[in-house]
Amino acid sequence: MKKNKLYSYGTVFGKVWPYWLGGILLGIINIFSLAFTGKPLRITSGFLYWAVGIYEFFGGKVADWYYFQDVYHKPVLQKSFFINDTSLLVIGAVTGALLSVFLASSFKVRKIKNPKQLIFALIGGIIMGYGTRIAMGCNIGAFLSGISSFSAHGWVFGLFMLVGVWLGVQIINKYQI
Amino acid sequence: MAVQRLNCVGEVCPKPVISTLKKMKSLAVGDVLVVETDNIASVKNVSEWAKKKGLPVQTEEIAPGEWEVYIEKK
Repeated sequence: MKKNKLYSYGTVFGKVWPYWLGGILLGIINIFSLAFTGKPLRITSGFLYWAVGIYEFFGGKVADWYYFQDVYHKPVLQKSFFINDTSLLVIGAVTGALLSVFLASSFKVRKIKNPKQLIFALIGGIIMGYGTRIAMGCNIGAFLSGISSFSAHGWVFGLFMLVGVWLGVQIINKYQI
Repeated sequence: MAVQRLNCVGEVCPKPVISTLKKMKSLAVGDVLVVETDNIASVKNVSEWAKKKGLPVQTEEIAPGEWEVYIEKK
């Protein structure tokens, strides 16, 4: 066994950054988001724009859906579906993640371990996506931005996110995913 | 001293740390567990768990995006 210090691989980008540093950076980015777009960070809303855009491209009409009458969801219909600040944020997040993985020289195409993992990931993704749409955001839009905007719904979201995580761990244990 | 390996490649957080916790119980004192993972978050939480338990732990990137975490049972 080679003797080397914990996390000594790579330079500053090859290291695992502590959670508090990530938290501070996320907070700073959120301030920038609020300053430049007038809204705190949200990620999954970007996918809503794209989904509506694709649906309307194929002839669907969502304007009279009950969902889009809500004051929070109405702006979706007033913007371009693909060129908007939320889309930019999503593309930026993915590009940034790719860049950081390259800087750490840790890029790797991850294989799917077994079909069970694929099925559970798909089901989980769909449930999570649906959840974000009825909870007005994901762990960024609803939890982080909700709490930092002094909104009670952020705390409620956080509480039930913990319940969801606990449930998820039980499922992982039970089905050995 | 025996060396046991735990293949967690392809598994995402928190599975590797859960498997590590279970596997460590079956080890004898002085044995070393090698956790193989390609999940950077797992490298962090597996080694942090070991450190919290006061167990000697080392990490090595064996290939781009693939790590081995060595934990000795005490």
